[in-house]
Amino acid sequence: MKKITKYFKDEFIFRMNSWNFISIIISLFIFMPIFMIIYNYNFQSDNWSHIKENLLLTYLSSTLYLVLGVCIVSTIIGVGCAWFVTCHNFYGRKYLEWILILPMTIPTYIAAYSYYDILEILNPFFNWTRKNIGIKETIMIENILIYLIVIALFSFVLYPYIYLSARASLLIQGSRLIEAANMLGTSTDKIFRKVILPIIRPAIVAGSSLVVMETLNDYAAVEYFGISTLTIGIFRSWFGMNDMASALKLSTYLIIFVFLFLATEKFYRRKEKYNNIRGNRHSYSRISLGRKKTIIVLILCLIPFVFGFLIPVGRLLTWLIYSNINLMDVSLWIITFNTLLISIISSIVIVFFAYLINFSKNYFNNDALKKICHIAILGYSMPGAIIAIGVLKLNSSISGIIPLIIIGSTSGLIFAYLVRFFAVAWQPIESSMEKQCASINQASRTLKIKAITSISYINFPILKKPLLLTCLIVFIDITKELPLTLILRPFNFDTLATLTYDLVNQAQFFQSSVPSLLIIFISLPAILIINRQVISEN
Amino acid sequence: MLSIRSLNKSFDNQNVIKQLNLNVQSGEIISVVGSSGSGKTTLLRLVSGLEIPDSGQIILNDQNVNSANIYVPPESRDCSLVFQDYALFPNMTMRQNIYFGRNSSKNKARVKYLINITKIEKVIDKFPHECSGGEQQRVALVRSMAINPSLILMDEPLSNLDYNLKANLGMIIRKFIKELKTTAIIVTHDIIDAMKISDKIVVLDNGEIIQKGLPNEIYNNPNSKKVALLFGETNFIPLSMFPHEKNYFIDPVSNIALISIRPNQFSVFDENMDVGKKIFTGEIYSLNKIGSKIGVELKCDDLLLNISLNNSEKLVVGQTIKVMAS
Repeated sequence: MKKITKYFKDEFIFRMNSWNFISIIISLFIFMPIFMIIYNYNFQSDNWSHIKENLLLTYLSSTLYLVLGVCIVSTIIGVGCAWFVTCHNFYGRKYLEWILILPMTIPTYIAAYSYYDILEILNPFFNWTRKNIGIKETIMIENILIYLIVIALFSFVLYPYIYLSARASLLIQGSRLIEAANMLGTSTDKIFRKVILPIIRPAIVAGSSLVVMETLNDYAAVEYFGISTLTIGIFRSWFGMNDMASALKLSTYLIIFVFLFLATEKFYRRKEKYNNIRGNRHSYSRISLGRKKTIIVLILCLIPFVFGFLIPVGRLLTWLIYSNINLMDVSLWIITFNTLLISIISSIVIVFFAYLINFSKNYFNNDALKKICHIAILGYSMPGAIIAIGVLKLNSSISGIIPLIIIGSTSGLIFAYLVRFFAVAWQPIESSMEKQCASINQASRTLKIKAITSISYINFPILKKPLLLTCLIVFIDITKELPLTLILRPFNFDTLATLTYDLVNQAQFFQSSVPSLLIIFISLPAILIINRQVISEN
Repeated sequence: MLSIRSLNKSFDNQNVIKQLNLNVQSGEIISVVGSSGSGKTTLLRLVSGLEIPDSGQIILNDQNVNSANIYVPPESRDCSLVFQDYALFPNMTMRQNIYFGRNSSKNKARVKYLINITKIEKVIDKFPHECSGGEQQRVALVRSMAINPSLILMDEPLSNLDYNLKANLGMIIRKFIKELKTTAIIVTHDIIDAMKISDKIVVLDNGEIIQKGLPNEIYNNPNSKKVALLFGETNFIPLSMFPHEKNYFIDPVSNIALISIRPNQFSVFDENMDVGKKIFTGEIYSLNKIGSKIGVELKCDDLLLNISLNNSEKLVVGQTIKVMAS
């Protein structure tokens, strides 16, 4: 008790100032939509018993299968590509280094739409199974195949998250380890299994947790292929049954699912103590590959690029020819402008708040703020649909107290993006500030420099580059975002993502290629800049 | 000037500072020495206000800056801290760094003097990354002094420098602190630095002060085996061999009263110099020439003495010699 009192005194009285106070309030406000869902779990619903008895298990199992499948396949692709591209020397390595990140520009729903007719190719096979094996079995095979296709599709566009984090880790630590293992005469295969894999495990876990979050967030792709995940359940309850209470309850289940996953990940990573091996400044020692092995590695590494980028973009470009696109169509350019504008404004707002709170945390070293701001970053682990429900619930709860009009307005959408993507901005800013400004900020304090001077004239110039890069990362995420925008967009307000969704829903696949390609081409330069930075940093 | 009373600080249930009491007089240079993890840096951070103690009181210039109900943040304390990694603002030139602290631009004459004495005129318009470690360290010192604090705290100010720079900068630090009549607390793990720069030395172990006093006093008369070893190579000799010696300590393991005699406190037996000194006779076990000195391991009955003699002595392994302890 004495310790708790002392803690409260230190953190809430001694160390509290306007910077910390504002940061705590902002953090709590960002967390509010998630809190609203958990708080309203007990809302009465007529449909809940039906959902619980007949659908909940399907929702949960589908989500679990999908998440596990995508996680495993994208880990194999991401780690495999990172291992070959970073630690081996072969013809074409430098090109692969760049093209392997390109699938990141493709949202899962666009990947799914570009393979929309994949099941048609399998029709002769299904006809054969129907005749020779049986209808029941064919349905089962069809279901399994759908899962496998969606898992493969998701993995081909989501593996770059794991590829990037594993590659960054290998760039820092790989060379020295390979040199040391080579000195001991260890085989390449053994180096990978016994040295590299354990060392880069935290990076793999970090990357795969992003893959899991993206998989959970998807709505359009799973809807298109008819997989009933929890996110689909939330949409169905809300829009199909007009039952907000059931949607809230399902959201709580999804939150529990995410928490369990995050807790497992954290518990798992708790034991990782050996990922601090520093790289040296000598040239990177790579394992040279012979001609045969080079061909095999090139083929293996090109598979994800071909299926995750080349085929979808190729198909979209083909559709573009048939789409009878009218470049003078003002509405398309208005939507493109909308997308750019809302993505730019939102990313600036998000990065600003992440920078402000990180600065307060770092500058004043307030432990309470450090703990409280962690709840603000939970939004990224929640699918967009949940955030949307939470924002709506928050709006209805506080509109009586504070006349805030956040629903149906762009400010509401920006707030929802803030909740969802705050963590995306938080993590890179936090690590950059920790690395580059921690002792500088303490020095500023002992030199009696005002916090406002320090944030503007010391921290900002130093962190300009990471802040810009963070802005780009958030910008890409917002440009691709669909479920949240779909629910919270103002009336008559479309983004390229919602336009793609609407056109596909109307079966206008050829026309949908235009906004889809625009999303990809808007994201492309940003991703190339980020990749260049990752390479130059390491 | 600075008074610390019953100061306690713990991290994760581990007591880093325990019931620490310390008084520093105005104009004094105090070195805090101790092994890694002894709490030296934590003590500086507590005094500067970057950490809040669990309990205890810190009084700086008659102002209570820390007690049960008072906490004065670092911005409002009349002290500045020089960080081990210098913490220079990388986006600013050395000049901008120096003049960025509060009121620094008002102390132009003082800053000019500091720039002169630390010889950093040549690098004043360069950025930190364009300067050497020694230059960066000197700028960090000048920057901290430029705000005119009455107390300057330095965390390992010489640790990242090579031997020549260390000796030179150590003297510069002492000179300008004395000339500006500032009070300083310097944390270091290097005893030689501490002995050169400071007026007094405080030895910290596991968050507690185990000895404080004048540098030579502690060097020659450590009050424990730990302090003796911290100050360099020494020989532990049972008190029974020096029954009249007053400065002794009890070895906690063997419970035997011991005295510490440094290798350089021995000399080759000389009948003319023998004025009631203790004489040791033994066989040379090994010899190690280091510059003008020669390290001798001398086996005297149960004792193996480490002795440092002048290199001019003609000695061979196996030779029996007589040495006396001063």
